[in-house]
Amino acid sequence: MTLSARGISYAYVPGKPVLHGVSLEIDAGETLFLLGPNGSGKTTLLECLGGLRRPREGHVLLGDVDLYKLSPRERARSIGYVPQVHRPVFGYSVLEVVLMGRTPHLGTFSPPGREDRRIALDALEAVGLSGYAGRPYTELSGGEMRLVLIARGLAQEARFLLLDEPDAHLDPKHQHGVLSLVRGFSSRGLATLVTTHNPTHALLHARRVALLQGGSILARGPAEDVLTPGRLYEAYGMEFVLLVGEDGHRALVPAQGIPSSASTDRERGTGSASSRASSESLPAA
Amino acid sequence: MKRRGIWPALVLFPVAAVFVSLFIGRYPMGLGEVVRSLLFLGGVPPTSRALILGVRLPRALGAALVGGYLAGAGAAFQGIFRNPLVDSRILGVSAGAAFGAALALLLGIPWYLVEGFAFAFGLLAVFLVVLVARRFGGSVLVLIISGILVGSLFSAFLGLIKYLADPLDVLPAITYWLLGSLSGTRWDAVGKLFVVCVMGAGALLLLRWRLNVLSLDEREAVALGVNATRLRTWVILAGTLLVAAAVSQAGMIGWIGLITPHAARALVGPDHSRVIPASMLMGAGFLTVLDLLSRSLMASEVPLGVLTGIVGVPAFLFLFMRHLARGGGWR
Repeated sequence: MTLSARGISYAYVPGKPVLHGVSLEIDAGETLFLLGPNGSGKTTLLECLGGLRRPREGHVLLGDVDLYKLSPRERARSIGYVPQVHRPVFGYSVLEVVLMGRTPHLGTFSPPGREDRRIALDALEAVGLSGYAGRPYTELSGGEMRLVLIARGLAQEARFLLLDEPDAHLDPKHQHGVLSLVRGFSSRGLATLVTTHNPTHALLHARRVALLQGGSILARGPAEDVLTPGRLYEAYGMEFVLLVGEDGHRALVPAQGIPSSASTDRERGTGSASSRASSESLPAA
Repeated sequence: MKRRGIWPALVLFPVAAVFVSLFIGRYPMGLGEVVRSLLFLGGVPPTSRALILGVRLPRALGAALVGGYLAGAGAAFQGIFRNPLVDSRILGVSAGAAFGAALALLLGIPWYLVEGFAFAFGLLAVFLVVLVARRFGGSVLVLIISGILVGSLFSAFLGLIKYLADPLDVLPAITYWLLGSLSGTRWDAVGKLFVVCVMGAGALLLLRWRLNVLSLDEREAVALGVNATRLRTWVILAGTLLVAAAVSQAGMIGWIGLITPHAARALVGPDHSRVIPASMLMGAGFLTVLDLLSRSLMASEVPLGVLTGIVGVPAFLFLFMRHLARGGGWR
């Protein structure tokens, strides 16, 4: 099963499209990262794919069914959405928040049952928060809240999970933890679409990447093909340098202020890789 | 937070309040008279029996129903508007319903249309509030301000009706009723309250778990497979039905709908599947006790609306300070 956008356009203000003619497929079980500058339409595209914002033109297809012809319940059984962190007004317990992920599987008048609780507790365990069920959600740290929302997405038992900047506002350890967790979902057959502002995160965790710019797809494909300093310069209008560590770890960092650290890299013997990468960024500059 | 043992106490509270109401009044009753009357046994003077079964019992039941409805509607409104500071009065629903009922009284319209008018204008008020709040971004504060605006507008219309009303019969009736009173509540009124509002209360009880999802961000609720607009409309319809019936029967009674849900959350936690029934039971108990006080504190009745204000404002201040002390926000 594939979730696909076919030539979709969207405008908040008539005449100023945020997306125009975007086509993108998410295949079953894959991890796709979506990058692009602020205002490039990432969140809008995520919402269109999630059934939350009907495109003005084009179609979103779940398999071969028009997503916007499904009922909210049917759609939510296939597609989950993990928002950026928020604080609900009421101090629900962690378990209560995760149980809300069961909503599309419940009748309108039925509260969650024992089986739903088991699924919710399993989801909490999967994100490493087993002992947190009874804690008030509103008293968690930002990283823990993010994990709870991801657990809620898991409890939804959808085939596609769309995550809006799951690495934002987290310390490096939690950024890595959350993204590693998300990458691991593909082994469960769960496909994920992740937006991020950090190209290095995409290099680390994504198989495929799509780069949005000005409401259109600039490039898409395997992470290492898309995330080149040249492409990033096209998207963001700034120079990046690709640094490759001794163990093959790769990072994309802004080119400004790099020379000194790049030279230390060169001294360590990875100079050929990094200089090749930065020379790649030069023609665009 | 989830002590199961609390439920028997919550059920017992309104039942005990109604029972105690039967003893107290200008003519105190003994245990024998009350119990024998309730069990339809003989040996009770007909006047006592009439007082217990024909006056005190329907009045206490009316108070319990009105209190339960106001508190249930308040909990539902707080949930769907994601705002712990609102109730039917702050949202302008009560003023709208009161205007509708007063208009019906002025026009000399039969009782079932009085409630219909109250319901229609209550809905109009909440619709206007939502419209104005949306226009200005819909934060907690904006919603309260638009509620106050719309409420003031309907209060002004209400003033116009009072001005136009016959000062000899209709005006005193409207004024007395607006201050809030259950003194005229007999069995027919109890039946009316019960029948009209089983729908509203039933709807809220059936939808109570979904209110949790509605209390999230709109987009999240939709992403979780809820038709948020439709569900919210149903909750508003049910809540307004309850408020309209309560207002038509007992006038503008504030605070119960605002404070009771907070007390309920303190006892059973924030999950609406517990908050809704707990609010209804506690509201029923509170208003029965307050109505008992209103008719027994002084030789003449203290208007119920006055009493709920005197008790409600300090109670609200307490909740407000506790909320702030715990780092709660209002945006």
